[in-house]
Amino acid sequence: MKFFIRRFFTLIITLFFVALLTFLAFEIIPGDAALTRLGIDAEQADIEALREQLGLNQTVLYRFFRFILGAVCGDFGVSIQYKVPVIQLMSERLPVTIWLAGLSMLLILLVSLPLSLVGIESKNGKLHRIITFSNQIIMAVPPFFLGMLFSLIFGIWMKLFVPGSYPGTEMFGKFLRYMIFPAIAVALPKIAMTVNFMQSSVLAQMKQDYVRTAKSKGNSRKRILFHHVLKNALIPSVTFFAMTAADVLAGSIVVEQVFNLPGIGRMLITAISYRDFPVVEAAVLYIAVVVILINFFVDLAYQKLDPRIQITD
Amino acid sequence: MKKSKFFLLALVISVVLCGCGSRKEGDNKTQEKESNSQTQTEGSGEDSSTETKVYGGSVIVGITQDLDSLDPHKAVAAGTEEVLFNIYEGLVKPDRDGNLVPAVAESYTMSEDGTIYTFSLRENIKFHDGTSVTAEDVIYSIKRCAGLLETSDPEVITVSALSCIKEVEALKGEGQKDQIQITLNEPNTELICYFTCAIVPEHIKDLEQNPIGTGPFRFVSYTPLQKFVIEKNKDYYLEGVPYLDEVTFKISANTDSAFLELSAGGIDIFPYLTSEQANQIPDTFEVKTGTMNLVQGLFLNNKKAPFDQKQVRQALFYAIDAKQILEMVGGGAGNIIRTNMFSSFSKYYNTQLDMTYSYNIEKAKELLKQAGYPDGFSFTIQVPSNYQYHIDTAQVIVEQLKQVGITAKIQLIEWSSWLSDVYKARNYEATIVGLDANLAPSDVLKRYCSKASNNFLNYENSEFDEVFAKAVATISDEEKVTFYKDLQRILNEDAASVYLQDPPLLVAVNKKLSGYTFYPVYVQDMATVYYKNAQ
Repeated sequence: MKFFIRRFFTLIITLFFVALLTFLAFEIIPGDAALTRLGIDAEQADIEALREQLGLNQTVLYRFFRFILGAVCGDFGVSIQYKVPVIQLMSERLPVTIWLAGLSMLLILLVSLPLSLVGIESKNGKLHRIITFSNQIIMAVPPFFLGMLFSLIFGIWMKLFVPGSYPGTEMFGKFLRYMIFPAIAVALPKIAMTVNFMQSSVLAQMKQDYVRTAKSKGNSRKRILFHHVLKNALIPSVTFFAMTAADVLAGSIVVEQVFNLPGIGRMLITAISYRDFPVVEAAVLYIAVVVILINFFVDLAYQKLDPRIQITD
Repeated sequence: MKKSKFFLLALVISVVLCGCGSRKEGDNKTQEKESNSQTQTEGSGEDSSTETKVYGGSVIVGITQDLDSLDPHKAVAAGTEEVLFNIYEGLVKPDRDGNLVPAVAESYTMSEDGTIYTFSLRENIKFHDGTSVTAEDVIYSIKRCAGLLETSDPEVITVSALSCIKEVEALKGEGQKDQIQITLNEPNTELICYFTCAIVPEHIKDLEQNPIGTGPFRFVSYTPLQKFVIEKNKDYYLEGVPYLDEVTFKISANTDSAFLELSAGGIDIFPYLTSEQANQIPDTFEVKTGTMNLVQGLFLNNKKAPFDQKQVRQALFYAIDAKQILEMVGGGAGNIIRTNMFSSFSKYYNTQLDMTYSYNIEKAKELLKQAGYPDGFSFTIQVPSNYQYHIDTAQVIVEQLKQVGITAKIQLIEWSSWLSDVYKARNYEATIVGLDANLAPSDVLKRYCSKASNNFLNYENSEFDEVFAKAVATISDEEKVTFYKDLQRILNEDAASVYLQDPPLLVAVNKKLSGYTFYPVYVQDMATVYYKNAQ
């Protein structure tokens, strides 16, 4: 229980600092919401009036704490550009990003685990070499490029989907059919990395003394692998998996641009260019929460995998 | 040789422009009369004689910028105004030749001294919600634009040119049409261009959620970052337009993803092709070429050394080969300009300047030597990062300037930062952007007045200020034209900046469609677009 409370406080403190950093970054970068909103022909008087209305003339401290207080109460304010509450804007965009990231994670799990085992099983075999070789290539390809490649191959040549024509969540079948391509684009390089990591992790374990002992007791290779090695090899892999999750989120933001997905990422980028501070702050905080939560679950998973790791205090 | 080539180019462009423009207008009229059946055959026209216009159908237009506001008086981005053009109309609106034709007003008159404008309202004109347009709505709209309402919304962009309005009133005679009389504090014969400001219903207070105007299309829905949908206004006061039942403006993240979608058949019209994309366009599309109606230039801070010296600015003019830029960046389309005026603004455009500053490295070196920079110098060009066309232009310029020993460095800068640092704070050496303006020539040139608040070039020339004051004050059209041409000459001689081109606007249009029209302002008019008969 104590663990949870401590974790909760860490979460709050981390979020506070993330909010502060985002806020400060916005203070430092040039550009001003009122000026950006009113554009090139704006009269100085209008800019001043709008600054006043948006509360940009208040002191930095006042604005920051007003934002924090609002956020604690679940009120992130109103988007400067769209004039709707940020919460509403977020809740419309969130499902897209969550589905994209979720599908990618699922793909990574479903593909990389069996693939790495197959690779190890046929160690030094042809399959192993093919997997290692293609891993090297795929790892080096950034998701946005894969996205463009997919649009060209699956979209324009094979006509499996129409690039850029995001169908919305209403028709779930169509939605899923469209989302699978950006999900693969995000997942593929991560799959390659995960397979590589898993393989080396397993192979490192295979050199350990306990494997030799198990072998000398007459266990089959398969039994050693599944009963002894895998569990030990999984611990570093879980850490890696958590890092991947954060990466997948970042990758989705970029891929959203390529596939025209109206997710958090596109919203974030548009909001930054409009200096729409409330939206940026909310989106950044959301991403921070997700990353922190993933880390939290990873800690829990450690304990399950290896009882020696004690989460006490 | 150079001269004739350029001339040919201009000729081709103007032929293309006129070709897809005026002919159809004439045809429109002949066929509007018998527009009961679904399709008609056009009577005249050489190449389009077999073409038939189909009423109905829907079209998807690709755009790359999200709308900044659905309230026409709050919208700033050119990318928003070009879309809202289909929904809102002013008392007058521009036609394809840059003339202002009556829209909400049926006709207008200007008093001889240029101080009183009188507009007669069109009879039976209705807003999209079914209510009639009243004189009160017009007065409200104009006052809102001019910042004359008692409670003003700071987000409404005040049109400073309209601040010379003293009074807006309705003249209501018995048995007469409603008239609006606008009295000015001082004479201004160019003010009519500003009455393109949208007429909106006074009773709608949330135009941003509920955009209602008088245009040929009415609003259906808007999903931020996804699409903006409009449908045919069945009660439009002009017979026979629009043709299309529905138009969807699809918001893509960037031109690349929009082009992919176009290639896959998801977009019918896409107005922002790059010249490379234009070369790869699928067979089902044709590329139409117009101009963006921008003055693109390497704009110089006239107060920052070494650009405070006229010779240096002139040297840059000679050292930059605008023709090469046009070919490398614009694919050969577009018009070279040598002063701050749009070439399509033919009444005022000073054609005599076209042949000045032809590419000449020796001359540039000579001028640099005179200015005390025989070995060149180095400076930074700030380019807004969201305009690939300007970035590409900058790259060509950097290479060209190496020839005369000038080292230019490109610094990409976000649009918001450009606005605050370059445009407002004037803290820069050089920048590449495209300047646009209202259809009034004074609006194009005003920024060069020493005291103008938007004189981000820090240009100062008392002769210019004098001539400008005369140009605005005179009510003789002939004199006006002479003065404005003279102003362009002054800017050219002073080399206030290095003026490059009016960039080409390459539009991909599905071959099934016809009627796409270019305007001297930046708009996507969907009212003229129709499906050709498939047969």
